[in-house]
Amino acid sequence: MKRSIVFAGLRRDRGTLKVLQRCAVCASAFFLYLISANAGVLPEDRAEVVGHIYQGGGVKVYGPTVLVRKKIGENIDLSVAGDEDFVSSASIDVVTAASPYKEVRKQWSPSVSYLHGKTTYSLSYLKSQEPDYLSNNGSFTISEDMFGDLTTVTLGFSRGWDHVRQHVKDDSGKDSFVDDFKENNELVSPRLDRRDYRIGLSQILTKKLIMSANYESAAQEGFLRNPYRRVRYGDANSSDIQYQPEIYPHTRTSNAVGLEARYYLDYRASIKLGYRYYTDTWGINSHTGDLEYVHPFGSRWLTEWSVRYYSQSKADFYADLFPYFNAQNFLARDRELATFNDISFHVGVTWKIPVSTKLSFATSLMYDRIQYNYKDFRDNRDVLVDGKLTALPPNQQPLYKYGANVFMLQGSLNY
Amino acid sequence: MTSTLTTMKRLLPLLLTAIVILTSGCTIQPWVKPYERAALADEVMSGDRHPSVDDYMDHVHEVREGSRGASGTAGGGCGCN
Repeated sequence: MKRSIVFAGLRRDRGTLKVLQRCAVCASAFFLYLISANAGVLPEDRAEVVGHIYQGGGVKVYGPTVLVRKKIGENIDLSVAGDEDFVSSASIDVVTAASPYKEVRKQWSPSVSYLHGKTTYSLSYLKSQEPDYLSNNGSFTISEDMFGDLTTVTLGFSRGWDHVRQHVKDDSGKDSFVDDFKENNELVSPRLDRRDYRIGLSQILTKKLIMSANYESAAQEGFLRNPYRRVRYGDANSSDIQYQPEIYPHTRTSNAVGLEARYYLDYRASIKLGYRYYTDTWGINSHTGDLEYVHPFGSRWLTEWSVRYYSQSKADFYADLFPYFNAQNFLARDRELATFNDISFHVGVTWKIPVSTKLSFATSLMYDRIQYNYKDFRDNRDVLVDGKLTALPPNQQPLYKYGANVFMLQGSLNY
Repeated sequence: MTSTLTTMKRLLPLLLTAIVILTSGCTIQPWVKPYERAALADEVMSGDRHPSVDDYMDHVHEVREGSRGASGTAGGGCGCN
C-alpha cells in the first residue's frame, strides 16, 4: 500500500517524490560536473600596506591597513586584513553637544577561499572594535564561473552582531561604559543583528567590454541609533532651543542595486561608468554615479582619475528642528539621514618595480577630495556677533557644508 | 493528484533535456574566445587593483552616507552607528 504525506497543503506520492528527488540530484550533479569541467583561478599572492589620513568636518582619522594573501596549493587561498584607525573628533555634533574626544578603532578580518573546479567558496569573519561599539560579522560567498568563463555569478550571505555602549564619566570623573539604554522609560537592548543577502553577475560582453550587476538586500534589527546624538525642538525664530535623545525604529530593511561597465580604449586605457540605486524602509532613496578613467604611462606608471556623485533624500523621521518635545514616534537629527549630496574627486598614481619574474613591487599615492552639501541640516554652532559668541535662531543658521581630504600611500608586493 | 503526477512524469524528460541543452552551453565555444581576452586581462581593466584602498574608501563613504550595499563586496560591521 502506498503511503502518502502532506506537504505544503498537497498530498504527494512518496515513491514518486523519491524518484523525482533522485532525478533532481542526478541532474544537479551532472550540471555541476559540466560547469566544473575546467578549473578556475584564485587571486595572486599579495601583501600590501596602506597608510591613510582622512581630515574634514573637524574629524581626523589616520592609521595603517594591512592585507596578506597566500595560496596553499592550487585550491586554497588564505588572507588576513587588519586596520587601525586613530580618531580625533571635534565634529559639529561633538562641539555642539559634548567635548572633543580621541579613540582607536581596530578591525581585523581573516578569510579562506576554496576553489573546486569553477566554483570558489569563501568564508570570512570581520571584527571591528571601538571602546563603545563592537561589531562581529561572518560572511559566506559562492562564486561560479560559467559559459566559457564569460559569466561569473556570485551569491553571498552575511550575518552581523553588534553591541553598542555609551562612554560616560561618573561623579568622580572616572570613565565608564554603559549599555542600559532607555526609550520612553523602558530598557531597550543595546544589540543589533544584521543580515545581508547578495547576488552579483559579471559578464564579458565583447573583447573590450565587461559589465556587472549587483543586488544587495539588508535587514537590521536592534539598537540602530547613536546613543550620544540628540534632536532639538522649539521655535525656529527663537534661540531658546531644547534638546531630547533621538528615538529610532528598531528595524531597517534596505535594497540596493548597482550596475557597472568597464570599457577598454584602443590606446591602452580604460573607462568605467557605475550607478547605484538604494532604497530603504526609513524612506531614504539615494543615487550614486561614478566615472573612472585609468591611463598608463609606459609599463611602470599607471594613473587613475575618477569623479563620484552621491545624493540622498531624508529619512521619514528626520528633521533639523522639531516643533515640541516628543513631536512624533521616531525622532532623528543625524545628518547621515538628512537630505544632502556629496561629490568627490579622486586621483592616483602607481609606480611598479618588477623585481623578478615572480616578484613585483608597486607603490601608489592617492588623493580624494570630498565636498558634502546638506539641504536640511543647519550649522548650529555659535557665531561671533560683535566679538561675542552668540547662538542664532535656527531659521537664521546657514545650511551646513564641509570638505574633506583623504590621502593614501600604498605599498604592495605580489609574490 | 494522479493527473498532476502524470504531467510531472511527462515533463521530467523535457526538464532533463532542457538542462542538458542549457548546460551544454557551458562547453561550447564562447563568443569571446580565451585568446581574444588580452584587452580584458590588461591591468587597466582590473576593478581590483587596490583592494585595501577600495575597502577603506567604501568605509569612508558608508560612515557618512545613509546608504550602503551593492558595491560587489561583502558587507561588514563598520562600527559607524
